Amino acid sequence: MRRISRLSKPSGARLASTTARPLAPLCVQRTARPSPSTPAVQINTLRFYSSRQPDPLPGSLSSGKPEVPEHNVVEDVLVEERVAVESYDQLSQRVFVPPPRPSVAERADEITDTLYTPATTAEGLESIGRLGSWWDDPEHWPETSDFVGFTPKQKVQEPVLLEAAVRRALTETLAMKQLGREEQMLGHWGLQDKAQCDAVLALDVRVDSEGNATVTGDLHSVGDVLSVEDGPTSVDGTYTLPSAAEALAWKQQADQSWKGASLQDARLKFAVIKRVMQLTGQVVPDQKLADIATARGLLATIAKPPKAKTFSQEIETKKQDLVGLPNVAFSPKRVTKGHKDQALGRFKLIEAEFRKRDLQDGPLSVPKSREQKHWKGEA
Amino acid sequence: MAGKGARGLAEAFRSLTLSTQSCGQRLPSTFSRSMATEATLPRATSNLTTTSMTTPWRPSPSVPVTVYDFQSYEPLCLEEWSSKHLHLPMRRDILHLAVIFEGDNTRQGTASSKTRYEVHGSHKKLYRQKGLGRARVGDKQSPLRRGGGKVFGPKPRDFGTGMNRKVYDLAWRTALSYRYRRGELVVCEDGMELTLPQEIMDMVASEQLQNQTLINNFKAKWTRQVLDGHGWGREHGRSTFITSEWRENLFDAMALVPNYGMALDVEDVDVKDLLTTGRLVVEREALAEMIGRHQSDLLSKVFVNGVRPSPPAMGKVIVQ
Repeated sequence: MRRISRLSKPSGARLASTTARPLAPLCVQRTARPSPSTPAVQINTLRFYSSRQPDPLPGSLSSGKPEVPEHNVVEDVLVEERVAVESYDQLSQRVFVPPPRPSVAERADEITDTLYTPATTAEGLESIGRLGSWWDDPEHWPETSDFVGFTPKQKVQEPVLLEAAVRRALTETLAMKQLGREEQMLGHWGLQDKAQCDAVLALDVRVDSEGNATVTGDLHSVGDVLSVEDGPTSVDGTYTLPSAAEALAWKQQADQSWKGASLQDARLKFAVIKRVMQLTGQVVPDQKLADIATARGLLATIAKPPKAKTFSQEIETKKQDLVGLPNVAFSPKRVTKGHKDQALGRFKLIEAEFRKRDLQDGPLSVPKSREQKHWKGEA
Repeated sequence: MAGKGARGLAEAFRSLTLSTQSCGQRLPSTFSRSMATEATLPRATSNLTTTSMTTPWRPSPSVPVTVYDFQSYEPLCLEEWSSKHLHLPMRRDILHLAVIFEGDNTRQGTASSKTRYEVHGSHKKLYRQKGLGRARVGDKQSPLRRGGGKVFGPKPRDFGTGMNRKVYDLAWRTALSYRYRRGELVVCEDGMELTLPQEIMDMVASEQLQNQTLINNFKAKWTRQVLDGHGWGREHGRSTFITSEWRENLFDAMALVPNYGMALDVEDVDVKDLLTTGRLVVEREALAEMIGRHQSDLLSKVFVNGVRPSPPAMGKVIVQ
């Protein structure tokens, strides 16, 4: 039961010591497979971070600088050319931009130029800001360098989209199972482009009376795209789901019997839920896993409206019958004396009278604590 | 607290449902005999089959637990843990006892004040008893005088209280079960550590990035992004990370963003920590260690056929 927090190590040596440990903070940057058709912008969006299966680092972090082997002149030229190309690539794909190295100006008394006159005011000097907000600048930390996890940035909550996601996940998983690629069913599948997604949704899923589902159609095209032989995180596209309108059109056309597909097989269920999580960001809590027996059950578990942030919002959205009662007045915030004064129209008069007597600095509606902050210059 | 009232009501109703009852058999008490009537009771007519009425409800002996990759939040495998470890009924009273017990034992109890016999100075009578027209006084250390001793002041003492080991262990697993039921227990793979982008590590290694403020700001922003991306951040009620050992990057980063949660070594965790923040993100090994240390009530001392019954197994892999 530690109550006194650990003393942290001296900040200067912190990172250096980290890199020397076997559990060094390894970053596994997984980029897209090198394909000429992939746009350059996408490469940065496909950064995927995981502490699992760390790739060998390009250079040992503990050593700091890479060793330079002996080489001849021809190799030198080749290396220089390659470095030039690489540095160009790095510039175009620069993910984080550190501040330039600080330079110290020459001392005024050491300047030999006779025309130099020292400035007496700061007029004309450019304000460059401080280092505290360096990383908040999108030029230094572009959005494309943001953290990318397994789930999408925005959670999908539209019921139609969730339905499309479950259908897609189920079809893909069943296809892999029917192809006999059970080993790859739990792998990290890539996202694909729109055409592939539409093709998957167009496949027919048939469910028999016992809930056993089978996919008919071109399974190999689905299976080959999802193949994870090239690595666990082969990400080929960024397309996850169709738009809401497209999904609605698809839903109206599609037969709804696929929702009865059984998910009793633990392996199948896990694979479907994993894929749904990847496509929508919806996490199925562990305690609900046992209750999910069909695709319909899975849909019912994840298709829930987002939770209200406040109690008042919850009442406004879900308990309209309470709000509508004739003898109940509903207010989203606590009704104070100020509110009553405002309702009667005397609040402004009170403020004016206070101002006249120099008793109130600022409007009455501002809470006291914030006022105090203003006085202290904090806010 | 957002939506506290309605949530509390919903929880209260949920606790009344059948699935939360731990009793073995429950017969429907549709009819009750009135004291005033002698008429025979009508036969219970129910749509339930006889088997469902006679078969006692038996909860599943195990519950599923998904193991995630830490930073990416990718589900890796599905395990089976005993219900006696992670699916115990909620016992608010036991949790309260455990938290109070821990609080008592955490008190330093070093407050100390001086009595009149310990206050420094002469014990001479300040002035004579009579003839001055002033109130009679004793010595300078009198509790009535400024700078005098304290009458019933605090003295160093042990505030620690006791709690039965088995009850305390039950409280541990009840706290974990409470988290599990609410979907607030995220189990991650062993070796949970915050991973920073390779570019930044290269910059630090090549001394391109030396300013500690910059490095810390980067770590803080990165950590916020990771936690917000998974719905573990400040907006979602903070998170407690529990690892089996000290993890430099993770612990440093969480210290930089205290609004987003905290990171604890498994040695430093207590029941109160399990209940404090919005969710627990626990390394698998740390979870096994916590449960392994707190299952004395499940360990029998009675040998059956020369063998001591073993406690329930932990973390049997179902899907991998």
